[in-house]
Formats: sequence, structure tokens, C-alpha cells
Amino acid sequence: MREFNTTDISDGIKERNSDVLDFIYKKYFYQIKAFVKKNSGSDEDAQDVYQDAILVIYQKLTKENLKIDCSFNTYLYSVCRLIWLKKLEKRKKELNFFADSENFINIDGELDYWYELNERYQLYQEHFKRLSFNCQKILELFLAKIPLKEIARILGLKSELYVKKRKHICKEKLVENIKKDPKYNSLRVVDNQFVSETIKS
Amino acid sequence: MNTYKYIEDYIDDDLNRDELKSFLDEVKDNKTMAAELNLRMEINSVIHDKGFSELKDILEKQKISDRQNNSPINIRREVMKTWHMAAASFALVVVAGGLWYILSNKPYTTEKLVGKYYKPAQPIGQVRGQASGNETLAKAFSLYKQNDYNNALNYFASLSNRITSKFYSGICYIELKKYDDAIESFKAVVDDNDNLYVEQADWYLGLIYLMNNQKKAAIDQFNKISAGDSYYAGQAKEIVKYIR
Repeated sequence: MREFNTTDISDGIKERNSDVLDFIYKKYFYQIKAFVKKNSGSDEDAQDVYQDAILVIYQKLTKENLKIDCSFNTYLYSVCRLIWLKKLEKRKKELNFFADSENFINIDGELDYWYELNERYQLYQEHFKRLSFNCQKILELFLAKIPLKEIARILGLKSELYVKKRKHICKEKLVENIKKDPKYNSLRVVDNQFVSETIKS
Repeated sequence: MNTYKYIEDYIDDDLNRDELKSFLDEVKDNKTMAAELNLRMEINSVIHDKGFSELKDILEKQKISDRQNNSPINIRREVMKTWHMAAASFALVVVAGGLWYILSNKPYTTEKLVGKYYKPAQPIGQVRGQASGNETLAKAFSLYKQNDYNNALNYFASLSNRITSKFYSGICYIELKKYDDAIESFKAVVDDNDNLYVEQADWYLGLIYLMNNQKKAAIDQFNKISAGDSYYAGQAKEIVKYIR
């Protein structure tokens, strides 16, 4: 198996490189699994924790320009450890006998926002994928800032006005479905970071 | 103005200067509105960030593969290999016999597969203008919805330069069992490669090969779809599994 250093791994996650992602999984997942199982979790919990951790690291790498200054193994373990602690807290499990199997770094404060954002993103994406094919495409094209005229041409529509109308219908349907999901209330935002940033700018 | 529309207009940069100022003043003091704006901006961010979605898909595949590799059947197979070779040989004969029985009694015939996966595309609902081209398309769709495919084709044919028309002509030909014509129509859509029907046309091509008993072409087509990131990749993979 080809080896990758921490920089290669960071770049590989950002670029969704399958070789790097396979490497991380094969090399480090068993440690995460052992840790989760040692602390009241199942194989499935370990897989969920691992997946959440990689998505959180991806968000931090792409949006916060994260620089990992310890070994990737330690960083991944630390992120997984925190995520599993949060999941256990939600399940109101006894944490007195929490057992660590690897070295970890303290990243408590810097992870909360990204972990919660990741949970919301997964919910939004789940509902987006349930929209009709045409709704997904029209929203993607619109957000990619493709001119309305071009969207109309690609979709075979004559009226740009109708593109806007369809986009509005699709977006409202998506928002409505997300709000109806029971998970939505538990994931609602306390600090409206997007809004704060927008208003500041 | 409807609050949600007001927020969307802000996000889409469609407010004039006065509206923008009033919107920003309102959102500063109105927590509910700020939360709604936040939600809608986050949703846009998810749709726009293809990387997040791609990464999630790769991780999901790893998860599925891990579950398959660690399934009780696989674990048992390993144990048997090490400790019970003789018994394993016997079991293998039994399992092989069972598999032969299952495979020779496939639950899915070609007809059943087609029935399971083929659905004619719904007409798109945007034909509302008064332009003559739109009127023709509206008439074509109206006939199409009534399953009057022969007459619908006449209207689609008069708009033969349009990808939408090619695509729906393809469906009409499928319904009329004119598979060669259907293949020609969908190939035109795929070859154009700059329209929203490419993935669907690729999918229908696979199904036509299946309907037409062109097993190898069908497998090749579904393998091509499942190797990409098409909306139909998962279903294509399932079909290949069934027809092999």
C-alpha cells in the first residue's frame, strides 16, 4: 500500500482523492473502531463517527485552511474521540469510564461549530437528494450562477421568468421538507454565523 | 412582501438599494428572520459545494464495502478456511448447489427488470408561453400524456432540433417498441452532451438494450453509468448484478 504523509493526506481529502481516502480508511479506521467499541459503541457507530470526522476535517481544511501540525493519526483520533463523546452525551450515556486507546490533542473548542454544521449539512444534503432530478439540476445551475438565459437553453425552456419560478418552487419545497424533518429542531442554529458575516460585509 | 421571497431575493441579489437597506435593518432585530436567512444560506452552500457531496458518497461506499467485508457470511468463511477445511469442502458443494439452484431460478427475468426500472419520463411542466414553438410542444406533451405516442411524435418531429423533443421522441419510440429509433433519439441527446437530459438518456439507452435482449450492450451501458456519478449509478449497479 502506498504511504502518504500528513500534507498529502490533507491535500487528498480536499481533492477527494480516492487513493488517499482508501489509505486513511485502511490504515486508521481499525483504531477508531477499537476505541468506539471499547466505549459502548458498535461497528456501525464507529463507521458513522469515522465518516463524520472526515467530513468535519474536510470542512476545516477547505473553509478554515486548517494546518495539521501533529501526525494525521493523532488528529483523526482526536476528532473521532470528540465526536463520539458528543454522541454519547446525546444518548445520555455514563462517561465516567471513558477509555482512550491512543494519544490525542485537545481540540474541544475548535470543533463544536464544524461538528454541528456538518450534522446540518448532512440533513440538507439528504433532502436535496430526495428532490426530483429536474429540481436538483435547476438549483445547482442557479447556484453555479449560470445565467438564466443559459439555464433556459440547457433545460429546453423558453422563458427565463419560468426558470426563476421553478427555482423558487424547488427551493421552497426543499426548505419545507427540511423543516418537517424531526431531526431539524435538534440541529437548529444558535449562532447565525452566515448572517453575522453577511451583515458585517 | 412574502418574507421567504424577500429573503430569497436578498440572497439572489435581487433587491434594490432601498429594499436592501430595509432588509438589513430588519434582519438585525428580527431573530426569526435571521434564523430563516441562515438556514437558506446554509442550504445554498450545501448545494453549491459539490465537494462535500462527492466526499460523502465516497465515504458511504467505503462504509458499505466495510459492512460487506465484515458480514457474518464473510467472517464464517474465514473461520471455516482455517479450521474446517474438510467440512468447508462439503459446505462448498452444498452452497454451490444452492447457488446454482438460485441462479437457475433468477427472481428477475428481463421483463421483470424492465418493469421494475422503466418508467416513462414525465412531461416537463414549463410549456406556458404563447410562442408558436411552445404551442407545438404543449400539444406534443398533451398527446404524450394521453399515451397517443404516434401523434405526439409528429409534433415532436416538427421541433427536431430541440433536445427536449429528441428526448421525448425517444420515450415515444420505446412505448411504440421502435427500439432502433429510440436508440437513435437518445444517442443524439447523449452526443450533444450539453443538456440536462444526458444522464436520463444514458439510462434509457441501457433499458432499451435490455428490452431488445441486447444483454452485452445493456451490461456495458449500465457499467458505464455505474462507474460515473450519475443519478442512476446505484440502480445501474443493481441491474448489472441481476442480469449477470
